[in-house]
Amino acid sequence: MRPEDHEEREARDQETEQVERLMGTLDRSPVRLPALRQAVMARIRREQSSPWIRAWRWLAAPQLSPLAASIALAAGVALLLWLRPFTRVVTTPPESGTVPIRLVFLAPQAATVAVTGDFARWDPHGIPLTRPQGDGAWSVELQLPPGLHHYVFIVDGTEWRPDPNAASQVDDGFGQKNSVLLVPGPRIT
Amino acid sequence: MSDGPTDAEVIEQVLDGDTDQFAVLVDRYGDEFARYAKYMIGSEDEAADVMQESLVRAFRSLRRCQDRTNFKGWLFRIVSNQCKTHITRRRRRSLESLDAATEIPAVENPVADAEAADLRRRVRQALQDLPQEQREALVLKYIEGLSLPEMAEALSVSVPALKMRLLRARRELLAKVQGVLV
Amino acid sequence: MPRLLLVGAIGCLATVPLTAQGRGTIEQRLDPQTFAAVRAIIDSARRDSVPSQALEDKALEGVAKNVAPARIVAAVRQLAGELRDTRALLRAAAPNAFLADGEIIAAADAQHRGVPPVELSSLRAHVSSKSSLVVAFTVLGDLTQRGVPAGQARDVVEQLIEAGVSAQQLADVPARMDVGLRVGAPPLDALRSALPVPLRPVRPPPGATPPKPNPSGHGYF
Repeated sequence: MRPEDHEEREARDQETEQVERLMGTLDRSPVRLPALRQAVMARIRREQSSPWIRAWRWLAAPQLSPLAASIALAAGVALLLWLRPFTRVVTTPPESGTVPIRLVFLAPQAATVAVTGDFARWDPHGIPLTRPQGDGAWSVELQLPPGLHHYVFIVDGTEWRPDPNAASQVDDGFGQKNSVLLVPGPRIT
Repeated sequence: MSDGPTDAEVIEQVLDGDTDQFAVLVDRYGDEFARYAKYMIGSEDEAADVMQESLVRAFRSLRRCQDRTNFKGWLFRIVSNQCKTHITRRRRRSLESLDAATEIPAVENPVADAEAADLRRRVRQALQDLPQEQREALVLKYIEGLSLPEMAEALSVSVPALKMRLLRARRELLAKVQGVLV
Repeated sequence: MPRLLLVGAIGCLATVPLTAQGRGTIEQRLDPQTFAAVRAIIDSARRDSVPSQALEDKALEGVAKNVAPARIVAAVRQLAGELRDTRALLRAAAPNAFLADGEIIAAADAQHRGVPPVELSSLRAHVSSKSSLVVAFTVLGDLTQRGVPAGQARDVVEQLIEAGVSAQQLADVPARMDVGLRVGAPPLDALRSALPVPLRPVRPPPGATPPKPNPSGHGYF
């Protein structure tokens, strides 16, 4: 190898080493996206149920012969003209994929009440409830995805209490009880 | 050892009308490219959005996946394109917001070393400042740990061309990082 | 010629925003050793298609409840085992069904509330492979907790599904049953009055003596 080649090669090796070191400072731990499946499937199901998307897919699907396409078009136009006095365009609001759920907790002596659970990633501060009537009935409206949820109320920031109105309670594996909330959705039996 | 259908079998079921089966592929590959997307875009939050968009697009165009035994490779190309689209659409992020979105405390050294943290920040910024092709080459090699032949297959580029791309990318990165360091 | 003849307005599909995965996750809320132990359990579970979100949630729950780290790891490990076993049970009952995470979790939950695995397995085997059974498993657990024998509870749930009741109607049954329980009705009587549709007589368990005819003539149980 010529001296210049050797120097060049050494310089490149040095560069590679430096870049390896610099890139090595970056965090290479895997990125987890636990909510990804729910988000993706919710969008896909919305698209599947949208009549516009079904029509688009049908139109964009593989091939008709030119003659068949012309006949289909002519028939479609004729049908639309015939149906015009009877058709109504109905628009429905887009689904959010979540269901509004109202939780109520009676605690007349409490200064604060919050709720936490899997839907809040067990945030120890919880989601605050309010008492609009100023009496002992604390409430909150949550938007929850369909499925099974575990939750508890937090009274005055320190006392964790299950929901006496819950359909059922279950052991939490730590010697306490969680309340169980079932949110039925359109896609689950 | 997990049982379950192959990717090709799942794709066939989805195309036959069993939409719910697509969730199997989301579970298998949803996190696979999230780290790549994070470093291509510079934000973990936005990477999550890009992964979501990529998977939905993959579902929509599933019929066009020609080699069903390599759904992963096909999905990667969608993710790569989505990253590029996302980058060109978005305005330049400020350095502060980049830090807030991507700074993750190192588990093995919980006590923050200010100098090391500063170097990390500079490297991340320099990476974001590189042309997308060069950034991608560095991310695939040094973050994802792919070999040159693997990168060549993923990017549909020849190995010699990749070597040249990496050479330029390394030089650019060093220039940007060293240009900032006094 | 392609079928595409119209350019339709597809509409704007709202993106479900994903909250930042880096905030409030277990790696930030657990000390490094506990995180490493929990991470290993979760990674192993993911490889076996066991729901990992539930394991993360259990770890976060432990932190929020100020549980000792060793106990958090033990709880996560136990839950992982339960979910793994439940998944295997459901897979064996319905080899071709798609097992959603929610279904596995609901079935594991039901076992915690006293439903024997055989009843979960039977329900999964008899219901269409395309149906998810999150509500069904949960209601099965609710009825069992309220004193309905598990086999009879499973038969009622199966019949309600076959009858085509909605998810909401099925989910409402336990709460409607509480009305009868609060006035002292036996569990089966309370359940009968809570049903949204009439059912054929519930099959008694093998070897049991047949039930006496119901004086009201409904003949459900």
